Amino acid sequence: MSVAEETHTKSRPRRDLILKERGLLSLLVAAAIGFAVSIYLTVVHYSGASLVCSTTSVINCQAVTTSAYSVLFGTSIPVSAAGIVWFLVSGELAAVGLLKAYRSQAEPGWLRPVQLFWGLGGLIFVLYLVYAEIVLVHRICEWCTLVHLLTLFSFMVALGRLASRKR
Amino acid sequence: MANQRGKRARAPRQTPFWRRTSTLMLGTVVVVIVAVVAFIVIAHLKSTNSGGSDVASPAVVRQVAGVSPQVLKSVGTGGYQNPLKTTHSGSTLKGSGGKPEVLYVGAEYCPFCAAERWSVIVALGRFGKFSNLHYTTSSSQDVYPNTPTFTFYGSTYKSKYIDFASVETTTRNPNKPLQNPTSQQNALMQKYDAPPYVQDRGSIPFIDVANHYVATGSGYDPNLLANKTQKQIAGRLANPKDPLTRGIVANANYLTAAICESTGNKPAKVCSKPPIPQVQKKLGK
Repeated sequence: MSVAEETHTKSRPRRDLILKERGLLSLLVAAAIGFAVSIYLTVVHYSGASLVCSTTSVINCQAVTTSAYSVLFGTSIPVSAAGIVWFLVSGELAAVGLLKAYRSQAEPGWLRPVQLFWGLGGLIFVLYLVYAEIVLVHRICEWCTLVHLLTLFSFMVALGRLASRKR
Repeated sequence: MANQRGKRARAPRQTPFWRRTSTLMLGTVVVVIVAVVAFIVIAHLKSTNSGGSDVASPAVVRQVAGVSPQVLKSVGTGGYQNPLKTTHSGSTLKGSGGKPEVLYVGAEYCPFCAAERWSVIVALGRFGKFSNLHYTTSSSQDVYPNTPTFTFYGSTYKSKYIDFASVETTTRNPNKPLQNPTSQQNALMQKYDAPPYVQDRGSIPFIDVANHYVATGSGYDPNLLANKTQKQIAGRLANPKDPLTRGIVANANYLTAAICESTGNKPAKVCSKPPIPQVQKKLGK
């Protein structure tokens, strides 16, 4: 086999991996973005700095992130800290599956149900936060909406992966 | 031959409609959209029935109601004149709890009320606890537009030493009524919200400390609050050198001193600690 043929042969499994595991990859990317945004929101919360955010009669990140609903119940811990944990776990679950696929090993049987359960928990909490934004605070935060959409996306991908699992 | 018959007989299995991936995905999106639309409808219904203000962050309220003793002492009167006028009344206004009452009458649109509420919360925070405070801003159509503040509408206050009664007469829209003073409160305003106690009859905010001291207007310049959020203002209350802090806290110290006079200087941890005894000497009896 020539060097060119050898290189082409080695790169094919990686391309196949990306195509085959695009669900896991998209979960990993969503987790990375969500993790970064959650870190940003948490840093801003503790530093008291202003968010980079537009301000209109409806969109007001400051109003949302300084409201009573911006902290976990009965604590002074910002909800974005919960987002850090959620996206970290979501990313790690995706990484577990990707690692197994890369090593041509079988994906753990518990992975997809756990990803769905985790995604469902995140989605339920997101619906509560959206309720708080719209009904209680009467404002929407762009950064929060991005995090909410990433959570919804992660749930839908997890749902799709579980539903498409071959029996 | 038998194997071929077996192969021909096996029909492809069809996934039920409700288990298809596309159905589940679409169902999720529909549920989320329905939930968001429901939230918007609920929010709309709620805002037509109330002033539509945002709930204040507990952390912010804690910062305002719990200004440190060091800051209170360091600011003292802050170089501000006493805003309170003594009524020389021999009787003490008592509230529904039988305790000396602090009465506040204002309106959400009013920028001077917006400024005064900060000092009221700092002062009353030393005697008890506020709950359910909401953020608001003064009217965008008035002087000192959109002054960030809280509203007392819908809030509660509990204290072992004083009762607090608040009346926000209108929302941010001065043409939209919110609360009406009681006949007793109206009578007090007729008597004390007028010369010789105050300069202009019917001024707001009107503060009556147990019928012993009254004040109208804001004890400091509302412009100090401009272009800041409630969280930013609360954060600055830790710095006694900040002009904004000096305005809010000096005004609050005067109110505190007056309240202490009405409670027989209880609690001692508030009324006996500097700067209150020194401020009380400036109140006039």
